[in-house]
Amino acid sequence: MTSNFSNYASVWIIDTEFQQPDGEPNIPVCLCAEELHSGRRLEFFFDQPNENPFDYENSLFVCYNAAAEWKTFIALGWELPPNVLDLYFEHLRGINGVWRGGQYLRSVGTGLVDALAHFGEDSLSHEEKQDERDYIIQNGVIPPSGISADAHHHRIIDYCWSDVLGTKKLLPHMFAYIDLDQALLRGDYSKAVAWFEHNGLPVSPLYHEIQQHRNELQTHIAREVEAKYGYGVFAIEGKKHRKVVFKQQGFDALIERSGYGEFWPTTPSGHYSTTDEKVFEPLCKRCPELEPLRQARKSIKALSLTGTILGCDNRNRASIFPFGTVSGRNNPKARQFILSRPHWVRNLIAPVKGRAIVHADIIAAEAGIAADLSGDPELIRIYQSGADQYLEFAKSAGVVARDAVRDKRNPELEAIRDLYKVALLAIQYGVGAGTLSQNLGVPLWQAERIIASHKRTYPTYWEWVEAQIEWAREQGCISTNFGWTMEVGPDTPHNTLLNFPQQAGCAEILRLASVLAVERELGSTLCAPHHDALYLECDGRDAGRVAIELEDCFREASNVVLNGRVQLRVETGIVRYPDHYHDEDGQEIWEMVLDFLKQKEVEEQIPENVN
Amino acid sequence: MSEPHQNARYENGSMPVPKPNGFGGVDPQPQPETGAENSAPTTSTKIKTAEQTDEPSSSGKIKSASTAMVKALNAKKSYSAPVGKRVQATYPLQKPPKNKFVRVHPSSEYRLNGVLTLTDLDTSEIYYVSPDLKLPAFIESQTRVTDLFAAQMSDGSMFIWPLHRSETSWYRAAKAAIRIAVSKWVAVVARRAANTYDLVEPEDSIPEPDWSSLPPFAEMLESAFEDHMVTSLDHAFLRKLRGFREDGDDE
Repeated sequence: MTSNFSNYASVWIIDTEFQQPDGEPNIPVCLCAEELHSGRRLEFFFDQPNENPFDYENSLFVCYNAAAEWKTFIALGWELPPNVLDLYFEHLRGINGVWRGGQYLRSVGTGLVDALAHFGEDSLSHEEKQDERDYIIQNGVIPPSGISADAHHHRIIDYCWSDVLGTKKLLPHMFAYIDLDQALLRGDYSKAVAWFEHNGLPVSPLYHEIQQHRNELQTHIAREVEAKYGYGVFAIEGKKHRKVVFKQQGFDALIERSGYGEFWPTTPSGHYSTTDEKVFEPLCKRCPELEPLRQARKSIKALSLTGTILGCDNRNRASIFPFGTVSGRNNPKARQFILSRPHWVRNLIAPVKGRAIVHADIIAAEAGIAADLSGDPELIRIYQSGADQYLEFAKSAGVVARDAVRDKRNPELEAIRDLYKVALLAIQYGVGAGTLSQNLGVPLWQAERIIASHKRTYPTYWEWVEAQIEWAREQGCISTNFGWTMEVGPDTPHNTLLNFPQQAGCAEILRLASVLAVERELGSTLCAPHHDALYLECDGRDAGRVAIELEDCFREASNVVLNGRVQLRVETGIVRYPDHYHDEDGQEIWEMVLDFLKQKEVEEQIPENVN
Repeated sequence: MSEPHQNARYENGSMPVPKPNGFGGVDPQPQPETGAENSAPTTSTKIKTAEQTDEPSSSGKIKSASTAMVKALNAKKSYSAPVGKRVQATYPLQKPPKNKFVRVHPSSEYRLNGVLTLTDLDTSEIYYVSPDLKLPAFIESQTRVTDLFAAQMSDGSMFIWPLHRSETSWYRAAKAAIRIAVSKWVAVVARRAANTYDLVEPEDSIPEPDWSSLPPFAEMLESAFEDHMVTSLDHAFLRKLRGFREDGDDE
């Protein structure tokens, strides 16, 4: 197999060990590496500074979860290598969507031990590995009392070598199933991931004040929302420790009172459902007056979570979990990642003095990608024109006049647009007429017609997407043009297949844009990816230039990933100190939070009466 | 061409991957391709083949050949479904379903008047009967003269609409429906109490029908009647009508 690597002057298999306090960057402990051609071995224990020993000229680096190694490199001030084969990414790809023996392989485990076990290779057990990792995390380069420096050093180095040798054992098993061109592109993303996780997002010190007063803040939000909207849903209970309680009975009464009982789903116990993703969120599109309640409930709940997401430098460093979803998108844990928290929390993202946050987001990414990949002329026309796609759909369906233009002061037109927005998004996710009828609050026949009008208006798109699904079922898998693959079985939901090309295409664009940003020396500015957006932080004086470069990265990435039929539009923004990131959707709760903090400040300034 | 995912599994059959490629000069790399519509359609080869479009190459838009860009272009292959313009493979012979809006082809080349047919009353299937055939009288009395029209439903699917001539009000109503459906979308809904059809126009606007993928009407008819062409007395359906057992044993 090594002959297949003969074009590389050196092929290094490496692993590093490090400490990783919650929310902080990696603290390097050691590195072990073996070069495949020469058998040369390197090992470093980072109890003293070390220069980067690697010659990157025509080299390939093979790792399992390479981002972890690059975070160590970054912490050491070492340059990152040019070519990376990350067997972790390749294994994730290999087991993506795969069920065996009633088990979803991803949920069984994705570590090096699991990958080796998949090929029948022995390795340390999960428990042994965890013991060693715990030992390293606890002690770092300093031996615990009673253990000699030599024994400490050897224990850690031996463990690190076991991972190098495990990776070396894994490589020939996986090699036959790897398209190296594609794997190298995925491997490059590990460098961007390392930068995201090393840098994190700068967060306002207000975060700590909010955490400190979170119980009072929960009460405040509940009271404010009730005072403004009179939902009759939140109650403050407890004598010693006041806490907010969401009253199901109050919610049932609210739904009845609002006349929504006819369509609001109920739980087996007969109460109206409050499941956020499946019921509350979609129905709030139909019943927008309940959205503040949903946001408040989510915020109150989120404030209960004391996630240790901030480092000492007030930066939110969350694990990105690249390729964490079947479509290949990142999948950071919502609790740890500030951009996955309720909208108002994102207002806490703020640059420090002299710095700026630059963000870039693809506008209507899924619509643009669907237009390009399918080649549907009407979808392309709408996307290219920059027209409002929801209103255009309503026009195509003959519901509004052909020459109608969006006017936010026209409530009738806005209502139709909102209806067709919900419909369009739902149809793209493969919703059936029954669900659409429920979500839109329209009769079944009307929902059927809306779906039919979508199929009539965008026939090329439907022809294309149905061909993709049929092909995926025949082939037993579905892939992006860059080889991110999901196994397809008889139980793979139709909707997952329907949406895969757009979601996975979007993931490819975001990854390539990140890779290009690293190549253009923006790596040290990368803070986080989120959905179709990237967040960077730089010197305030460079922000304009960085924004232009970032936009270029997106544009060029989309040109390569797509077929050249659509130029995706990118929106960039700059947040300069002392401003903070603004999230329109979370504005109302954010203002409540600020009001509360102001009150607190005033209260704390009033001297206590000591009489 | 799209690359099928053949040989695309871990050896134990658990890994879905595109066909593995060699590298480093061992095996030539497939050239990156753009576009989803780069192969022939998978539907009937009798019907018109897909029209290929010359899409601009994505690489033409790249400003500079950065290392990452070169890697990305090398990595790009096409695994998408071979999509071309899809055409319908067969054309059913049927009355329009009452829940579909339909249009009738306006050209006289897409209709055939005065065809002799027989209907299997057990299955409602319609058989073309050769006019040269000398039928037993009791079967001949069951034949009908039928006019055939190329038609399209609002979902784009095509069919052949048979209109059996008769002196009934059903016939007159259906004939009127066909005349109107030449220029308007209509749904044809039976009103049994009055032995007639109601014509329902759509409330939404439906785009004009696209007839461009239709083959010549003769081909459509061949497809519609494929094994329903009675050209000899030995045809299975005639044998059934004549009282032979279905296994073909006439002894």
